Amino acid sequence: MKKMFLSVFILLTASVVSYAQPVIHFEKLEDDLGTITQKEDRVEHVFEFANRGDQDLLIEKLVPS
Amino acid sequence: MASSSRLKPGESGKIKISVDIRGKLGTIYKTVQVHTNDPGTPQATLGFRMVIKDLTHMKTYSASEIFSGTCRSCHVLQGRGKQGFDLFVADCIMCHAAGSIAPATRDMQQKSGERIERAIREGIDKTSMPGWDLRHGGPLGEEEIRGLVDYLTPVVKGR
Repeated sequence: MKKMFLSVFILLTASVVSYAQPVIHFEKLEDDLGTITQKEDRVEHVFEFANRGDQDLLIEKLVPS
Repeated sequence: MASSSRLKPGESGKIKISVDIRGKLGTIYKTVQVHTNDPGTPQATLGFRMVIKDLTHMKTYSASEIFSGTCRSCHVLQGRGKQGFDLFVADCIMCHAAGSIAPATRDMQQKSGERIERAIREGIDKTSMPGWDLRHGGPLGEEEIRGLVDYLTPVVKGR
């Protein structure tokens, strides 16, 4: 009986750990661009990210401030 | 804007954020919330900071430049007929506001009255602080200068 509980427990844990999912990883979440002059009309900045999971990663929505 | 909204495992991507800075000055903090299907990070916030400087005030100006031409409308005419604190707000605060290019009011109030007076009358070399005294090419007379010095050198009461 004890053994059965243990094996059920291991099975449960294993299923949680190996559950396939996407994992988003950002190189940086924040940046300081320093001083910028008004020469340009627009300032562009790029944030890089990667999918470190084992499922497709979806960027569902971007909401700017 | 994301380079691609779907990434396979191991792939990397970019999120490009573009900010229109026309007409903006000072510190700007821009953030973007990223919503994903990653159950560990369903939402992440990206942010970046920048300080926008206008081109007009990038270089060091001399008194003769600040008190003439187009500079005059802000640096002379606003203060006409004003005294003390009102004059300070009209003529000085555009550079002496906290976080701006020149020392803030409370920092100047730490200095001696003589030093403040000399700086106002003669200006400070190698900076954009002009001499405000008529004798140094400035627009202010004796009464105006005294009022500014009084405002910036508060009398410590109860001594």
